[in-house]
Amino acid sequence: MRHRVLLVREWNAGMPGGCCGGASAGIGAEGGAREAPASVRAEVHAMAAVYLALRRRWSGDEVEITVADPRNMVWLLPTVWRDGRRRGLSRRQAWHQTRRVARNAVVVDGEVVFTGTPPHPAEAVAIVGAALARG
Amino acid sequence: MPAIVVVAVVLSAFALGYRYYSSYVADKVYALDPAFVTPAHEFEDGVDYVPTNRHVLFGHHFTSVAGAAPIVGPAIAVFWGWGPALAWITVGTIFAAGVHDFGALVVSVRNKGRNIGTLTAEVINRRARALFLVVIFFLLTLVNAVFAVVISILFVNNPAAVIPIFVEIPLAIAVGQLIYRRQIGILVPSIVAVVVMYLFIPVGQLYPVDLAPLSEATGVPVRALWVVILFVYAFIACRLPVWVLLQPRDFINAHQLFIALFVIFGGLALGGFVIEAPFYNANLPADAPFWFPFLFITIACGAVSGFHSLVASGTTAKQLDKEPDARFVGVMGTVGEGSLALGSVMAVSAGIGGAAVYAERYADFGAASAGGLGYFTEGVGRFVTSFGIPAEIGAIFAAVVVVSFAATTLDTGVRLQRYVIQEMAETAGFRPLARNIWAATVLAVLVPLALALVPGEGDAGFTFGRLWRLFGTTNQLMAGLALAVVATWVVKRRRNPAAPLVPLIFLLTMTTWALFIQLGEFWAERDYLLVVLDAVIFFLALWLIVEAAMAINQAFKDRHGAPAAESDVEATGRP
Repeated sequence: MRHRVLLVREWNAGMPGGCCGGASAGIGAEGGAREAPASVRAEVHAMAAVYLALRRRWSGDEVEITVADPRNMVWLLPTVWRDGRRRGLSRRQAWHQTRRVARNAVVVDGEVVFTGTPPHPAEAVAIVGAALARG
Repeated sequence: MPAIVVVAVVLSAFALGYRYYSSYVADKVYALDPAFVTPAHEFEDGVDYVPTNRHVLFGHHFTSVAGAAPIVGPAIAVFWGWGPALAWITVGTIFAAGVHDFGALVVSVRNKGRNIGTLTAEVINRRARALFLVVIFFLLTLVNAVFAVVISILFVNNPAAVIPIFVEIPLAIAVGQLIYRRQIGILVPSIVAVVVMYLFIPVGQLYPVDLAPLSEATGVPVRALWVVILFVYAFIACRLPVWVLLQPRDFINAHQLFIALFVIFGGLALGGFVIEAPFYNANLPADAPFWFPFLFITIACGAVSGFHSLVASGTTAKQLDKEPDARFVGVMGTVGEGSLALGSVMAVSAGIGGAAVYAERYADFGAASAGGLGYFTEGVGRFVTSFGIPAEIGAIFAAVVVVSFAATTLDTGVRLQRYVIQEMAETAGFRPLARNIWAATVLAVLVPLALALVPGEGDAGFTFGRLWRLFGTTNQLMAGLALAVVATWVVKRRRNPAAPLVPLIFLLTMTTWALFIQLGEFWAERDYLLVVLDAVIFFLALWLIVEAAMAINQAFKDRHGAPAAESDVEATGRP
């Protein structure tokens, strides 16, 4: 089975608004990034370092590494549920994992292995590696 | 005619358009290459440039482009009958929007993920970049004005929606605190916020907020009072950090978008509704605007919207994993938007309550434009009865959904306008404005506020029908600018440019024609502010026609002597 690692964080240049609003990056403004506080910008870059480290470690096709915006719940949450069920989690366990999906979460095959302040890239690689070995 | 049959026909047309026409455009016009290294891979940094699964990217793209605008235009355009409105939505989605959004995405991908504003300078010329900024300025001004009026109309027609909408503000702030500060899971707070907001619908019904007493005391019309309140809100909201209110609203709106789609189409299917509005309205008053060309500017979002090129080129292009994914993401985004417009047409034609009611409510264009949104919310209310929920509650629910989207657009629109004003001031060397956020914000609020308060078409119209048409024309101009970039790029690649050229010529013809007619109307009625606005947009349209013709002509000349261009940007590395 191909594994899926999800990194949950906002798109740097994305901004909400719907039709006739969510277009800041298209205008040239940096959108959310322009006004995001330093702590949020730091988190975005910390998650980027985690992402790049994971990509370097698992560069082949056996692990799909995807960054998903937490606001994209319609794709994100059913995917975490499905991945969990495919991994063999019970409905209750899969629901529990789905509820745990938060900003800066790292999800491996439907299991939330990390939430909170992004870890050091090497630590993230170790955490994800352990989760993949369990799966 | 059973509404579900019409829905099935339109959705089938969308499916066929995706299967065959977008496949032709992908293979023969844009010549997508699975081996092309997209900017997401070339500049992969984990921040902006991240190769992303096409289904995830579709989710980002669709939620960035879907909003209230594809609901408003079609609800007004049923004035000419549901047939012309649906025909334009269907044809526009497949042949104009599909090519436009898809094309903007592909051109950006082929040019290092650059946004459409930068591409106008590089693919057309530097003057076109100035044109882009001016068009954007007017577009945002009109967006902010019309959405403030949209919300005010809904608040006047649905005073029971006011409390749930105002409750959404502290709920969004609480969601933001929980998700951003406490970093707890996103599912429970966002669902609880939606449920709590909907629980306040009966509370709103018990305590409707009517500003009539304040209106009588001040002598200011109720809608004008709401417009002022909304711009005061927008001024405060757009000075807050995005994560405090704006971004958390998206956690609520993301649920609402899909709830609304389910309620409209599910209710329609379960209830066995039939279309009661005429296919073509032959009983138009003598002074009514004719559907040709006005239909094509009344429905912009839902058929083709220039704003989508900004989303496609600015954000989505940086995340595209493989070039062929552009077809799925770009075209399915427009199909989603077209489906919202389809739902709007169904609500006002199958949920209106009878042919006689239609004849009364769509008696003239002023009534249609002032009441269209109200008819939409009532129609959705009737659809909701299929689930055993009272129609009154359903109508308030629909108003809450539309206002939620419109308020987010207003908030974002004022922010974007501030950026544009600062950028224009910087370009013009006017540093005091370029560096002063407060001054730029005040300007971003005052200009659309003035426009929204301009009297016109009497109390019934509240100038809205005119503002909406001007907004539609400007949005189509933006689409024309993006299509000009796409067509020029296609010509440079020695491909047949008919796919982007035909909608480009059609849109520019319709917009200039409509602007010319409106200029005469506004002048005859001494609506001088709108005369000036229309004249400026007319000038911009002519300017765009000249620039597009010159650029495409030059590209045709160049392709006889030069090799086919893959990229219009020198390979100077990361943009």
